[in-house]
Formats: sequence, structure tokens, C-alpha cells
Amino acid sequence: LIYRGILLLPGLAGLFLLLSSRNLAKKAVGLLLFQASILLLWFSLSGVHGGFANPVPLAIADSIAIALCALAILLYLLLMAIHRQYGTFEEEALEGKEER
Amino acid sequence: MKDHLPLLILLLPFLAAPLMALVPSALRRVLALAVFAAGFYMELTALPVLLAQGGWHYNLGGWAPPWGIELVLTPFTLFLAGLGWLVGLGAWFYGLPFWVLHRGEGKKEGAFYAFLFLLSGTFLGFLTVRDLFSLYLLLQLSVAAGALLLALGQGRGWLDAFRFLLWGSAGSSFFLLAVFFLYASTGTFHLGDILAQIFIAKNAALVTTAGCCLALGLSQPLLFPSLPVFRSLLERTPAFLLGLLVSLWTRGAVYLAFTFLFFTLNLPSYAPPKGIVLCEYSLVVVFLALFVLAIRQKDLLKALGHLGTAQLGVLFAGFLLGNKAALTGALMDLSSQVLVMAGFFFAAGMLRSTPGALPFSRLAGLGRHQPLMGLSLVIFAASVAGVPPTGGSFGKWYLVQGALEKKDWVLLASLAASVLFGLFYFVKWTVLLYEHRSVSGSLLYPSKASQVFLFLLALTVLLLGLFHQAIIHDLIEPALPKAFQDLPIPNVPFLGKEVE
Repeated sequence: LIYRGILLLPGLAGLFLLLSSRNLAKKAVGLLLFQASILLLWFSLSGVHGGFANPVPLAIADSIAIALCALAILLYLLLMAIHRQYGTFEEEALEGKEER
Repeated sequence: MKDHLPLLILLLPFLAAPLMALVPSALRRVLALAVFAAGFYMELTALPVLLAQGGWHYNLGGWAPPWGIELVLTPFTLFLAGLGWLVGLGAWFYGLPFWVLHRGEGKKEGAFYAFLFLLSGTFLGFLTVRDLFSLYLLLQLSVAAGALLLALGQGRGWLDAFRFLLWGSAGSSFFLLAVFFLYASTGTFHLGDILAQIFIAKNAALVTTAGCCLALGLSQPLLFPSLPVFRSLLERTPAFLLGLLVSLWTRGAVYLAFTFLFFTLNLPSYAPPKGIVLCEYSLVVVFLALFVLAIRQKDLLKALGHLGTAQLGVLFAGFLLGNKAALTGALMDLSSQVLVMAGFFFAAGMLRSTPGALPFSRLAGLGRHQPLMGLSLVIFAASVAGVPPTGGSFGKWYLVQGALEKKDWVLLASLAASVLFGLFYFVKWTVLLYEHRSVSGSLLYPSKASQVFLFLLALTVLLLGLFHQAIIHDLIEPALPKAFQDLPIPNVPFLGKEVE
């Protein structure tokens, strides 16, 4: 349980970044960190226990990894488009520009 | 081929999505229409089988659950899927003028149809798939499809698309965490099997933890578009897109919540901690309080945004009551909400030429100039307010019966207050539509065809009410948890009958 709790630490840091940061890029990094830590939790389920290895969590973790990569690419593309349009990732500046 | 209908119904939009991006632009609109026609045809073919059997359990690849992925089609989910296709067809139809305005952006139109079908496919998945991990993938896919639809609809709406993707994905991360907890404790992904394992282990802590994570996972679809982060989304997004998202995505998530609450985490004798119960009641009251916020708006789109979320309070009140009458009412109201919210947003889209505000003052006297549209809008408002004989009225009637049967006065008072606010809204809306003031010149005059489609949606809401007994008996009852399926709807003193 402690081992799995440690795996969740980067996720908690990511969640903190997601909720507290006012920078969109940092929020995206926070989200990816959170998802990556859940991915680690899934990997932790697939170890060998008593000579028996359960392949299902590993297969699930692989699927999550693919979804995570796709999400990272999509977030990156949207961030680039935002930067091209507004020239910033800071929410205060973006809100000001949106109102104009 | 007929043996595989549940799979074909689910696969159709997912197969159509990539095709939309690949076919030449001349063929695209016809092909989209053909896909909708094929969807309706398959559902009509499956309906007699479902009515005869009560449900259709399909094992993907012949692998029986819990090893394989199971698709479950009930008459109600098939009916809801049909309503979903109707809303999808509406979004396609009301999107046509938008794409005519953006002539020369053929690739964008193709991508729009592709994401429209992806979103429709995830809605069908929410209704039929009984595998927890597949549901996570569908939720994440629906978030991505919704974000890309927003980006396409707004032209350069990258910011709203980013926020939608960010918060939607944060929600699906919590959903994934719930999947992890449930799998780690039960060793299975099959919803029915999870319930059996939880029952054997009497694991109440798991139910509480997974329930909280699932609630967080579904929070964005349920709060869309009332979330404060979407401040100007309503003004910038084409209304037909908002209608599609509020109708399919949000209501699909509500059905998913129903499945979890009553088919997966429904541990008998489970008493949730008092804090959770307090949160549930507070949430329902907050949702219903949004009716007040909706009434106070001076802009139609903003009012609809709050109204869409406020109505979820009615559904969650039904889930919280949890008895047969309340669940019947909640599912009945859910069916009419799918049509009503789409209809309202489609109408708003017809009335404004470009994205922007649509003040109520501009709708004065609209019903006298556009009778078909006026009538449709009055029917939608009647369904929200619970005025008979609309579908929403019977939904709310059963919900009130459920609250009386359970003697839950808090929820009964909240429901009664929401119905009163709805009635006030209905009267205000009807007076505005038919008052003797001419419509502002800046308002668009929609074509007859677009008004006819809107009226078709309104007529379906009316038919839901007129045939409510058949709908409840043949469609909703087989979709309820087994414990409720053979019980008569309880009589209550309020109706002058004996209490059972």
C-alpha cells in the first residue's frame, strides 16, 4: 500500500499544478503527470505474485499509455494554436484578450 | 447478420467517422444522411426482437463475460439511441447553413461530420457497453471529439477547445482511478460481475471511494456548459453544436451514472456516510437552484445553459430517491430532456445569424410570425415545466409519486419548487412569444423545412407524453434494476388510492 501511495505522489503534484497554476501549459503538464501516475498504478498491478503473472493490467496500462500519448499530442497542438493566436499561455492575459 | 445487430448499431458511427474525412466533399452530405438512415433502420430491425425478449446480451467476439466485453441492449437504451440519432440528424441538418456560409472549407466540414459521428458513437457506447475500461476509453474519446467539435465550430476556438479537453480529461482521469480501484479489488471489468464481487466481499469502502471518483469523472459532462471556465463559450459556439453536446454528451453521462448507481455499485444494505448523503442532497438542491439563475437571465443562450444543468437536478432527485416510481420518472424525463434541450438550442441557432448574444426581447411576438416554431418552443417549455401532456410532465409526475412514497420531504419540496419555477418560466416564455410586439428586424426568419424538423422534435416530446403508459411498460420497466421489474407502480394517498 505504501509502495502504491508513493506512486501516487507525482499524481498529487500534477493535480496541484492543474488546480493552482494560472498558466495553461503548466496545467497541461499537471494533467499529464496525474494521468501518468495512474498509469504507474496500473503497472504496479501486473507484477508476479506467487509465480503467477496477470497480463490484464499490463495490457490495460499499454492502452492507457496510447490514450495518454494521443491526449498529450492534442493538448500540445491546441497550446501551439493558442500561442499563435494570443501570444501567451497566462490566463489573466488570455482573459483580457478574449474580452477585447 | 441480424444476430450481430447490437454490435452493428454501436459500430456504425465509428466506421462512418473516418469515412467522412476521406470521401469527396460532394458525397459527404449524402453519405452522412445514408449513415443516419442506416442507423434508424438497424434500430427499427432490433426493436421487435427486444420487445419480445426484454433485452439483448451480446458477447463481443463470442467471449462471455467476465472475460469478454458485453454489450447490453434493452428496449429503453435502443429507444434512447434512436432519440440520439434524431438529435445527431438535427445537428447535421441545422449545421448545413453554417457550412454553406463556410463554403470552401470542405475539409473542416468532413472533420465536423467525423467528430459528430464519433460523439454519437460514444453516446451509443455509454448506453450499451458493460465493460468498465471500455467506458473509460469512450469517455476520453467523447471529450476529445467534443473539444474538436468546439474548435471546428468556433473557427479559431482553440481556447474553449483546450479548456474542454483539459477539464474533461481531468475528469476522465478520476474515472480511470475508479476503474483501477474497482479492478484492483474485484479483478474484473464487467459491471455486473463487479456488483457480484462487491456483494460477496461486502466492500462498502470500495463503493464509497469508487462512487466519489466516478462522480468526479462525470462532473464536466454534467456541469457543461454552466461551468465558470466556459464564460463566453455560449456566445461563440454555433447553437446546433451546443444542442448536440448538451443533449447527447451530458444526457449520455447521466445514463452512465444511472448504470453505475443501480447496476454496479448497488450494494444491498449499503448506507453511505452521512457526509456523502449531505453532498448528494446539496448537489440536487444546487442543480435545482439553477432554475432561478436561468429565469434571471436576459439572454436566451445563457438561460438555456443554466436550464440544461438545472434539469439534471430533477434526474438526480430520482436517482437519490431510488424507488421504482422515481426511477421510472427519471428515465422518462431523461428521454424528453434529450429532445427538449436539443430543440431549444437548435431553435436558438435558427434565430441568430452569427454567434453572439440572443436577448429575450428580440423574441417578442415570434410565435405570431412563425407559428410552427412558436408552438414547438411552447411544447419544449411545457415539458420543462411539467405541463401535460408532454413527456416531461409524466416524468415529473412519477418523480413526485416516488418522493411521496419515500416520504422524502426535502426532495419533494425541491421538486415542487423546481416545477413552480418551471411553470413561471413557461408562462413568461409563452406570453413573450405571443405578445403583440413585432420581432426585431435583426432576427432571422428560418425556413419552413427547418421549422418542420423542430416541430418533429416537439411532436416527439408530445408523443412521449401521450403514449407514456406504453413507453413505461414496454421500454422503461425492462431497463430498471431487476428488483423493480415486476412491481406495480405504487399507489399513494395523494391519488386517493390505498398505500401498498
